[in-house]
Amino acid sequence: LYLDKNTEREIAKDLQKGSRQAWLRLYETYAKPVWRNIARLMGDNSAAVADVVQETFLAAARSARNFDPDRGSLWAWLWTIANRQVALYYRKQKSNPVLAQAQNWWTSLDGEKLDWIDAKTDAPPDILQSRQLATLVRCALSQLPGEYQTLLLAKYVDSQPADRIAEQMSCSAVAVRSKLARARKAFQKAFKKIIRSAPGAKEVSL
Amino acid sequence: MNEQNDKQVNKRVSSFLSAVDRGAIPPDKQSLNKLQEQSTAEFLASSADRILQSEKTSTISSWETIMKSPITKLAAAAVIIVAVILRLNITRGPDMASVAWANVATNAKQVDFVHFYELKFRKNRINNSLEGWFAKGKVLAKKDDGTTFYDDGKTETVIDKHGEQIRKGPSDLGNIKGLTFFEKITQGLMQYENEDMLKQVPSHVGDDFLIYRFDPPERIKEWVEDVAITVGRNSLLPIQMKIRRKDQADAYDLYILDYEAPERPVEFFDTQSITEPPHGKGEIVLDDEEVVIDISDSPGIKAVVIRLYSKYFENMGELNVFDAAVITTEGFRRGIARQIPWQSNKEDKFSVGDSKHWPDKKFRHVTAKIMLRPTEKKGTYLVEVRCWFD
Repeated sequence: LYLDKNTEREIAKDLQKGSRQAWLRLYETYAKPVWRNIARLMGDNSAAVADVVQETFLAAARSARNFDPDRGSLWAWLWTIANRQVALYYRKQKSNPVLAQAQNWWTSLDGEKLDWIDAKTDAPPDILQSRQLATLVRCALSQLPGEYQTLLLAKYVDSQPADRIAEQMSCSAVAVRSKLARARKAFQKAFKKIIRSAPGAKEVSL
Repeated sequence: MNEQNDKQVNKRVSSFLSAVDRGAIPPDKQSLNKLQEQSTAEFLASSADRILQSEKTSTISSWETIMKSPITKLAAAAVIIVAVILRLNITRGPDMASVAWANVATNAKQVDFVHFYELKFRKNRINNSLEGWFAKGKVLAKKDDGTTFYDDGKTETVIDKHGEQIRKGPSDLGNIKGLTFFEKITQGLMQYENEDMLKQVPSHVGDDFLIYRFDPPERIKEWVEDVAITVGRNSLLPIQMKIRRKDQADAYDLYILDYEAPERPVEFFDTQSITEPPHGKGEIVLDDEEVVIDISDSPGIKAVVIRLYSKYFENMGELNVFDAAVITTEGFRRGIARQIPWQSNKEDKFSVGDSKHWPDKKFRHVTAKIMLRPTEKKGTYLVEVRCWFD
């Protein structure tokens, strides 16, 4: 799926020259993974997902000549752009009624909810299966740095082993585990922040 | 203990995160194929722009790569005017033969309205065409396949024939401020005045027109045979540009321009500002029925409906909020429930619309600015509305 370092260097060199083939190779390699991860952060709004994917690749196309393989992988560069676009989408959706509904749903739940997040007690299975939880998780995830998103999705959604993630991220497996611990904490913090922030103003379609 | 806790957190985060795959939209092949073309064009255009900027010349690196949208296609055509290295082939007429291109360039800079057509001839028939307008710093272009490109100087929006927005991105014209049409449409390239070019005189002088003929610079010779620009004899403004291509047999691109204001699509150009008088006003009573405010002088909009009511806000107490809806002349209604405080004597703004929720599925976006003015009667206000299609 991902490209090795040498191939990335070749592509980077060709991108700087404005090579159409280099761009197509990048696009063919990463279009679907980018779509998949953006959709994971944005849910079932297909038009919005398509828009954000589009904005990501158009922005990438405009800055592809600046890609420097010494500063990180192509995926990391591309996902930084995607992350920015997703964040922008969520900023525009501040008064998103779906999110507000999910926040209200969470508020209405009984039980030691913070303990569920901190894994001190078990969350009921129907909660874990609910679409409202998915909305809250997506929103929390979208607020994390791109590197944490990549790590968390690779580890917990794609079930990739740490050594494979390490290979993709050009770092050691130990470093991946350490970063994952930080990413988990960041996720828990972001999730808590979302469930605590009740919107003061709502704008919904009639 | 810590290890145990880590495992539990691991498990919990895993169970939470697995939720994100639920309902996530799988990659759409059609969208991605379309985006592949768009992004490739964007990449190539961006690469070409870089070369332009880095060299600070008025030449372009590749004819094909700058053709990223119909608007910039016209831009590219005009870029050539600036970019060409002149090859004189003068057939001098009796009076106008010595009129230098500088005169045309100066006139073109005064223009603030242009109506244009782009016709692409292949094997002596029109392969595709486009009609466009430039006015008030905005460009609108409509292709024969129904696609509309609109650039308001800040954002470029592309809408397909069904009214669906297929792209929205930064303006191609937005980075250039205070320039005239030709400067804008050539993305500033007309600024790079070339002495040789300015001194160029017509290759042909007719009764009503002059023709300036240019050879392409080295870099676009691969694509372009030559460029002929027809200029009105009296107006000294370009009325036609013909770009003969050599990458395809019997192929040329023709641009026809005029400067008289025909009926341009008002919804794109005649947007308004709140500083102007309201389009409608009416009295409204707090916590009462909704009020229909008739709208006049705003094309396409018939009325705005507003309901004013009070809502309790924590730490702030009861404040006024409103629901509003816009009714188009077709009778379509779109509205919002805006549950944020609406302060008296302070402009508020809302917008409604997209391409999905109107009954005819066409793209419409309405912005409205509203002002709530208290009257002598408690709980009764005067509402002023100004609204327009974006």
